[in-house]
Amino acid sequence: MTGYVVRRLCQSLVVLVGVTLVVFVLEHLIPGSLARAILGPRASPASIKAFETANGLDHPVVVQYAVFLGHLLEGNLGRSYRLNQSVDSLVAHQLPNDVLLVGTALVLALAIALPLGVAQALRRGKAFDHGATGVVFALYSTPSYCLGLLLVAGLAVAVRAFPPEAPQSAGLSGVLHDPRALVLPVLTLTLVNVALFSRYMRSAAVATLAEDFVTVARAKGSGGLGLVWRHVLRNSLAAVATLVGLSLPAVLTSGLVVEYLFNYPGVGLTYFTAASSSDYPVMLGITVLVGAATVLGSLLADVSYAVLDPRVRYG
Amino acid sequence: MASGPLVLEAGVEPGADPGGPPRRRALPQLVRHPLGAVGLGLLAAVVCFCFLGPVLYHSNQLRVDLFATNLPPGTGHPLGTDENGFDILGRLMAGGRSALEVGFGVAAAATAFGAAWGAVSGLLGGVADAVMMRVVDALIAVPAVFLLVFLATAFRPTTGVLIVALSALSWAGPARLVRAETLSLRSRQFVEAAVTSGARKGWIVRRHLLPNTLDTILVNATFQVADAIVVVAALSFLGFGLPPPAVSWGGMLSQGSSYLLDGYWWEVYPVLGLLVLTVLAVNFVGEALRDTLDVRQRRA
Amino acid sequence: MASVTRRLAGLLGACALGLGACSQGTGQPSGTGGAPVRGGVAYFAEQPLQPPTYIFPLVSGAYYTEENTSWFQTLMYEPLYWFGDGGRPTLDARLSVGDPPVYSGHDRVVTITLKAWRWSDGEHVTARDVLFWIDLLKANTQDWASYVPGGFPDNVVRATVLSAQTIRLELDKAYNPTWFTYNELSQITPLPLAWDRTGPAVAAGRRLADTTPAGARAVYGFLNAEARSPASYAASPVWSVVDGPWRLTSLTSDGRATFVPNTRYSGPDKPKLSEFVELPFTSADAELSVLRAGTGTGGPRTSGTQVSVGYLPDNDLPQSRTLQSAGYRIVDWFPYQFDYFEPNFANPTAGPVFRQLYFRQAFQHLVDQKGWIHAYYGGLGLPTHSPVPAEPPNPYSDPLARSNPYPFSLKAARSLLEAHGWKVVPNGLSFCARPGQGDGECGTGIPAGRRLSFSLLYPSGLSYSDDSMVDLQSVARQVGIELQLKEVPATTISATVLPCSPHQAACSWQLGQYGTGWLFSPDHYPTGEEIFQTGALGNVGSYSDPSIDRLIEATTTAPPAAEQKALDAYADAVRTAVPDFWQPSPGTAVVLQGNLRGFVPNAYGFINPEEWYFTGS
Repeated sequence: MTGYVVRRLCQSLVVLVGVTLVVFVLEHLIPGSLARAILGPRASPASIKAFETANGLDHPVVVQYAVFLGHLLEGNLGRSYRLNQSVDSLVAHQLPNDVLLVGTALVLALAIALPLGVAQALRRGKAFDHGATGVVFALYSTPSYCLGLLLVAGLAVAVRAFPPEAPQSAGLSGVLHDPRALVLPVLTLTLVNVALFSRYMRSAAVATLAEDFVTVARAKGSGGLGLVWRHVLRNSLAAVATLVGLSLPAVLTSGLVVEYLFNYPGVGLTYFTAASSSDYPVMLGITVLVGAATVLGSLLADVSYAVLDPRVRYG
Repeated sequence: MASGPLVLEAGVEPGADPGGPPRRRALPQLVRHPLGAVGLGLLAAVVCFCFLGPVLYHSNQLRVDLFATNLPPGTGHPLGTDENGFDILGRLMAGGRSALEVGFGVAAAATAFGAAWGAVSGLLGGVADAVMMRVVDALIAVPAVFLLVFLATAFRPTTGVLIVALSALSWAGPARLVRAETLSLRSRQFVEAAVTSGARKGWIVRRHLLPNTLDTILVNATFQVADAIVVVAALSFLGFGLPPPAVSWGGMLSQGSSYLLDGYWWEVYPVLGLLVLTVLAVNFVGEALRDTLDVRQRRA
Repeated sequence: MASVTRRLAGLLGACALGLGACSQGTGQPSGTGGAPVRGGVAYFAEQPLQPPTYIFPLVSGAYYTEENTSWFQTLMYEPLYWFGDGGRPTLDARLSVGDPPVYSGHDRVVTITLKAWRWSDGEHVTARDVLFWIDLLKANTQDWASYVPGGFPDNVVRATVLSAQTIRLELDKAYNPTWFTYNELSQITPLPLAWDRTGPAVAAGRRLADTTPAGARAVYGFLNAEARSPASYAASPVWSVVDGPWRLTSLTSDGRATFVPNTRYSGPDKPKLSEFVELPFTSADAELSVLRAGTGTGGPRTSGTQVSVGYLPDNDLPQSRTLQSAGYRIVDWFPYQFDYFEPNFANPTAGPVFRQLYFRQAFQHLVDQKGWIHAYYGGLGLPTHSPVPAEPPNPYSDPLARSNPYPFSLKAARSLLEAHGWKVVPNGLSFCARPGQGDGECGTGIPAGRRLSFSLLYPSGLSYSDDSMVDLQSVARQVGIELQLKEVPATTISATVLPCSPHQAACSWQLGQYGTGWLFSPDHYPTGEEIFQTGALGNVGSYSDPSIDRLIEATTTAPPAAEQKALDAYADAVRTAVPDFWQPSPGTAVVLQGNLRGFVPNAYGFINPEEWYFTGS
């Protein structure tokens, strides 16, 4: 197992470098002058030249990439062209927001999906099962910006039940100051994720319940039922671990729409804005973070599944 | 018995054992399944609406009418008009065509490419397998937003470009799925027999592996259709939609959403409802498909 | 054609004829009356995703946003001259640090006298401070966003401090005084000598470093380094030396800025509010939600999240009634600008077509400005007919600016094309049937069979721009012109719509739309040297016409007696020559809390929160 993990880590590093290379190359393939994109349409030739020199844009792409890797190894994620901050400080300030928002939505979605999925599996094929599938899929099919706008229109403007903005002070203290402010943003994210998770939980539970020894245990009656539940939960935990692991990169990027609608600056929105405004250092820096989160999350998912399901073995 | 890393993908159940009786009895069983019946029925209705509707209902979708902007439902416009004066009902039909085209196109392309990749990777094994799967990981790790921005600035978005772009972002799922299936199938006798008797890899893939994984591929593809339709709608909101005069539900929805608080409900709810219904229908079909295939497998 | 007259008739009924906006607002520029209350906090809504990012007034292109230049720096560091007086695009002598400049020596010498203002560290604002700025600019033109080669400070040959309050500038030639004051002196912000150093710890009695170019570069380097960390602005000993009405007490990473009155402000209007706060927003939707859910009356006795001075997003103009019934007031604001989109005269295939005047005239006939304003701008727009616009009311435009030489007319467009050798194919592709350079022929460089098909780049995120382009595409199709629309992020437009030579790859763009107009800032006097002159920085379409160049030259150098005539000649020539295609200039519906008084829309976009106050009602 340790050998497997080590091998995967090494491979992950290669993947990460590959990802940065792809993004770097694609950036440079985007047509147009980067200097003019940043400096605006009235920039003088001297300013353009100065910008390009200051940011190493007059060197070949290979050299620029090497410089970027060099900075990365020193822990320097780069400095925004537009926001007058380093990527480190941007992320450090905004990541807690994302963790709070997406983390809470994740936990909430799991908390709903787990019992729902199991309940659906137990009543498989009955009206409750189909009904729940319908409701949950209807939510999943609604684009999140629509859902968010409807929630704001309904619960924040028409009825002043919740504030229309997410907490404006940073981090946990902001949330504690006005916990109601986090309700609508979290709700928007949760409703969309519940479908994804409960679908998965349901099939995990169905598979578990169909196993022979479970059938026997159920036949035995209530004494065996405890055994069933423990087994179902244990297998569900494996599924949960997988979901959490694979959702790790989503923490950084999936909050985009909610951040946009609810005035909650986070990494997702910053990434999108940077991509649309040619702020390449921010894009590259966050790509590195997202890439790292992805490969780590994927590894975590596989490892925890192996730990929790004894049938799985890695050579 | 699962023999590889678990894949979080629609259609794969932990512990599922692929293979089983041929699919030709799937359709009748699908229709008997309540979700399947509802899903297929809805889908058929939507397809009729989008493709046959324009034959019966003609509307102007090309010529802007600055006097008929944002009209509520009334004479001549059963569902009102949008901010350019185009008839909304006609727009729904046109938008549905592009949504379904992109949805099915992405599912087909992503599934075909991904399945082939995964099958080859699983069959080859060893270093080649590791490299191919790491490429998949790398693809997942590149944030989709960046790729979309790149494509939007470098190319002029057409339906074809959208299909290629979204397929590029979605083939990872089928690839991992099929690889997992392939790994478990590989160890079964008939495959080993084929390998030892010197059969070419390509032939093995075509003759043995793909037919047995077709069930799961099919289920996954169905969910891909649904996801693609939703993603296209979200893309328009971010500014990556099809350029005018092309019509898409996503474009209608993102334009209409900005009028949500202004009371122009006909620009939001009809398209939202239709979008949700269509995606729901496809999801129902996928879910029903999975249930029926799974039941058959369990009985086998 | 019937449809055109139908359009006009309908519009005349719906909207008063003329250029005034038929908006949904109440239109009162400011309110007076109601017992003024001291104190209270005014909350100003920043534009979405445009927080203040840079505090040092010598700002480079990357940080040259309206937020930084008009709503942040000028609150603390007064420019030498303040522009925008009671809604008119003119100089406001009362609010300016400098007395109106005096021109002598045949308009080659400018003498500026400063009022007796003080910095917050007790020092006077002196002529030496002005010289400090000029020295810094001269050595760092590549870092100055508004730098034009040959313009300020290149055109100042020598700057001499005559006394503590007086500075004399000797210019390289005779300039039109109005032009020089409005477009060149407008670029001056006096800086405190406390900043004139190259490091944080400086010995007393030092020699000021800005006197040498190397020193000036070093000072800029130091100040720019100090400006690299927005989180440090509030507590910084450098940035807290201010001469404006406000002092920054906090700036968060998200962009929430809090100001308190500068008690040592020497200007005429002392702040009446206890605090001025700028709120960051991630989207216009978020800002509207806060407006809707917040309180329509502000002041010291209110609390909770609110916006005192905000804006109504373009799509949501129908909501003005709802906001008004919640207690807000709506004021229409029109910046002094003209709006346009650019043809690329250097594009290999489209360039020769655009170079033909008759084609530009025909194409301009396809732009239905009145229709767009009515349908897409919610009435909140001003049509552009002239590079010297008539609105907001100003002393520069001539009566011709109100008339449209190329009104919306499919018939006129079609007949122009047909008269010059084009076969017009409605709903198809028109093509050149009679190539050549003679009368009735297409023109130089246009081969037989050349089709009228163009790509049009426009920015995402502006609905009125999206819709206008859809209408333009639809209208153009009726005369057989195909427009391939391509929506891209705004910065891609900046990166792609460039001056170029015909065979460069960069010259593939054909029509480009910025979505924003040409705001006269800092070139406040509306001459065209920065956009229409051959080789000008803003001349991205590579337009070149020597006769127009001469007329522009005349506007910048004419003596006062002749300046209006020169300006009129230039305006009329450009108006009819259509070097770019005119389109409506959008206004903004500013939303104010009902009891906030003293707000006057500034024609160049500046704000004066020191004049705002709440009333008891």
